[in-house]
Amino acid sequence: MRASSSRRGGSAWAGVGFVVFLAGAALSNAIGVIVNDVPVTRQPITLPALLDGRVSQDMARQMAETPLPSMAARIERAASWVAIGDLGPRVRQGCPGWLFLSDEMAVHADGGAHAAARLQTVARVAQRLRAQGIDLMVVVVPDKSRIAERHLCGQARAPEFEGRARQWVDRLNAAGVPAMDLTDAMDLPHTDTFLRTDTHWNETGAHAAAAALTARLLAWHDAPARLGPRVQVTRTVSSPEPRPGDLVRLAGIDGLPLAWQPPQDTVAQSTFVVAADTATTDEAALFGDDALPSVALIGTSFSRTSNFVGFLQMGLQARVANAARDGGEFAGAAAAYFTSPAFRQTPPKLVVWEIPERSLQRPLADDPVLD
Amino acid sequence: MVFASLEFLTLFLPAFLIVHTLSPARWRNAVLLVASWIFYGWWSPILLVLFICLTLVGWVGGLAIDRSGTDRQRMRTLIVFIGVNLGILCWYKYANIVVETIDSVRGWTGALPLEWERVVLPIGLSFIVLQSISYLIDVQRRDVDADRSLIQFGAYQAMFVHLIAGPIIRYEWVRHELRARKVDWAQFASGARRFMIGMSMKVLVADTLAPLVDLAFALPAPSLADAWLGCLAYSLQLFFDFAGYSAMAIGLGQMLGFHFPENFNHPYLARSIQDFWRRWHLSLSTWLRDYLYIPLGGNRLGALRTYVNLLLTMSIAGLWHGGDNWNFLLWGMAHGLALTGARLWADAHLPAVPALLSRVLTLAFVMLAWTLFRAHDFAAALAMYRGQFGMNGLALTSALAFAMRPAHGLAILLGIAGVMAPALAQARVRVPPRVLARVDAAWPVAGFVLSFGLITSRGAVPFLYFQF
Repeated sequence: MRASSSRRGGSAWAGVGFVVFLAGAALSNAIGVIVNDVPVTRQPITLPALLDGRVSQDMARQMAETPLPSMAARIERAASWVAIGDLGPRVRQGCPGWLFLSDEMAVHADGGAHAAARLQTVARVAQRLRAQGIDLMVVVVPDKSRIAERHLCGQARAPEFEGRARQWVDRLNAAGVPAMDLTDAMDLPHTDTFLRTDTHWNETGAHAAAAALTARLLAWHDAPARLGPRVQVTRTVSSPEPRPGDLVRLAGIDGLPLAWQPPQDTVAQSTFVVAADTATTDEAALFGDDALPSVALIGTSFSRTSNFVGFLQMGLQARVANAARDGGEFAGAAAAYFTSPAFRQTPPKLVVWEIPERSLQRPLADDPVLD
Repeated sequence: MVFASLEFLTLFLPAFLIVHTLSPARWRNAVLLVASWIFYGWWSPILLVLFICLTLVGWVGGLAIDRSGTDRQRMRTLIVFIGVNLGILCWYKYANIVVETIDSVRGWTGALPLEWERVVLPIGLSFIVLQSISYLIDVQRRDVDADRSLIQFGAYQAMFVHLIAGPIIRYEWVRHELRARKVDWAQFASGARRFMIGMSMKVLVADTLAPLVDLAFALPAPSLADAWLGCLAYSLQLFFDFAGYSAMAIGLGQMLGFHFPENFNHPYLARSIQDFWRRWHLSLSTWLRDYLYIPLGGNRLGALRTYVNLLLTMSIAGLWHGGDNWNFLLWGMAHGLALTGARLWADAHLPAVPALLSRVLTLAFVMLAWTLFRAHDFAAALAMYRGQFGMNGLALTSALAFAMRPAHGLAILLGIAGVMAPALAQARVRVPPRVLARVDAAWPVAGFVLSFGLITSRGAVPFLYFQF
């Protein structure tokens, strides 16, 4: 008797709680749309978009921007970090303060087959570019957890990852596509080449990577002729400042007071100024397209972080058109660049394709179509 | 749409409950029908057309059987409409695997694969078809009258609360409530509590463990610890996902004035494999019993026929579960063999196995069979079995160790506690009744709030039985 009456009481609380929640959810949607101007959908409402569910899927994404869900997400992430040290599904902590992207350590079913398929894709792209008189250089950026392994504090990478970047690059070279693995360049003794709370390299790493790539390109038999007009690049370095890390944001704990977050990186940021080399620039070139970059860089956020392009331009003494895309993974930037007016109307002479090691074995379904 | 999603919790459900509550009683089935079609068509409105066709087939089939004169005519009509239902199910569910199998056979002779565009399985099709078949058979047997109202029958078929992942609701169970149902605060509150508990089961345990399971089953050579951790995590994930969803369905039904039977009864505490099937996915196991096993002759035609019927029924149950690969059929056959073995044991009057040992052996068998159920193909299942029998080393490998998060540990502990709940309830721990009452009242609400936070922060993970 007592049990059933207490259950009825419990149900009453649940009923009230549920009604309050539903009312709050409805109010949150209303505030999101009316007050915060969150669009109901960003997807143009067309019959095909309605029929294949693009409109409804986008509506669901937009709902996440309304007050209640976004607040709930931040509270959950913050509480999980503070209470049990959990950084969510996408981020892991190695040594205190050192964060890593969990994707780097993800073992994918048929990962080897996926990497082999991507190798074929790159080889086909290289062949197509070669037919247009364009060279391709593939650059594989090693995982942070490979280079900064000493900061994993005893957690080990899976043995099957040991040779995945090097073997892939070797096979690409064997297939006649110039490729390089940046592991050796970035594995500097007693020097960190990656940021602590960010998935990307720091300026030391970006500089080392750019220097290795520069050396390889300059040693390539006809690459110097393909770099375009020489430019002079000057670098100035600012005083060190705190830098928020993308892994803190990815873990969803960037809203916490700084004292409760992993300590931020402190970074002295470089600024590069590129000027045409007067010795190699004539009047005609100034008005023609000779001043356009002959080198195009496609890739991921690595190519957009820590001044990798600045260091590369400084090393090559040539302009580099940066067509990399954040979150581009294996082929996001390539798919966008090869179909862009920039590529069609002013094709480069050399394409550098930067690929993160962690993208090699991901499921193929994530890739845009390149062929 | 799935229950553990923003669009359901913050848009669909509040809007539906307001409209349903404010509607006059005679309009409620129409409201339920339209809302259910919106729910079903949310992700892929085009598939709604197929669903509406299936509803029409079921409704017309019922009327056609009802109007057939003799028993023989009724049976013929029934066979035609069951054939239509099964034809649709088989096309969407098994066409891909049949073509793949033909391709692999052709591959041995060096022939090129057939040109084939994969068929996409509409969500919840298997549940919809089983419901339709049970209705048609019940009408043919004169257990229920054919429903003359398309709206009422459509509301039964489409009812979003159990549409995409069961429980498999028989028309007989809800026909009175379809005509007139009482919605009051006590029912609503009780349903809300059940819904919150179900949501907590799915989100806090099942969805939390999902990435760990994915990784464990992707390892090319899992160690003993990897394989059993993955298998344990999957066993918990599957149960909490499915039982959680069933609890949500039962709770939502209650909020609307329906009373659905329970679908799970602590299956991992089963004393034998027969006992397991009396506790796991009850709406399916009773469906198989009433519409397949008994019509096949059940255990009325002698021992040998009983064994064959058991094996056949469970093999069909396996096939029903999956069309991606033949593992599901093997899983069903394994359960069929286990049930047959248990029956043989009993028929031979062998001594009963001690209760605790029997529970342990049953659970071990169920978990080993889940490995077959979860692996994406037979080779992956074999790799996992090699791990489970210690053929790839013993210790946890680095890939799984790195993937383990504090949340996984908590979810496993929570899951084990949930599985063991009846045993824990019997433990003689002195807790003041007032404290117990407060905990009992607070935890579903707290679990639901935490679940909502997790849904928003990680994005909804689709329900495991979504495409069965």
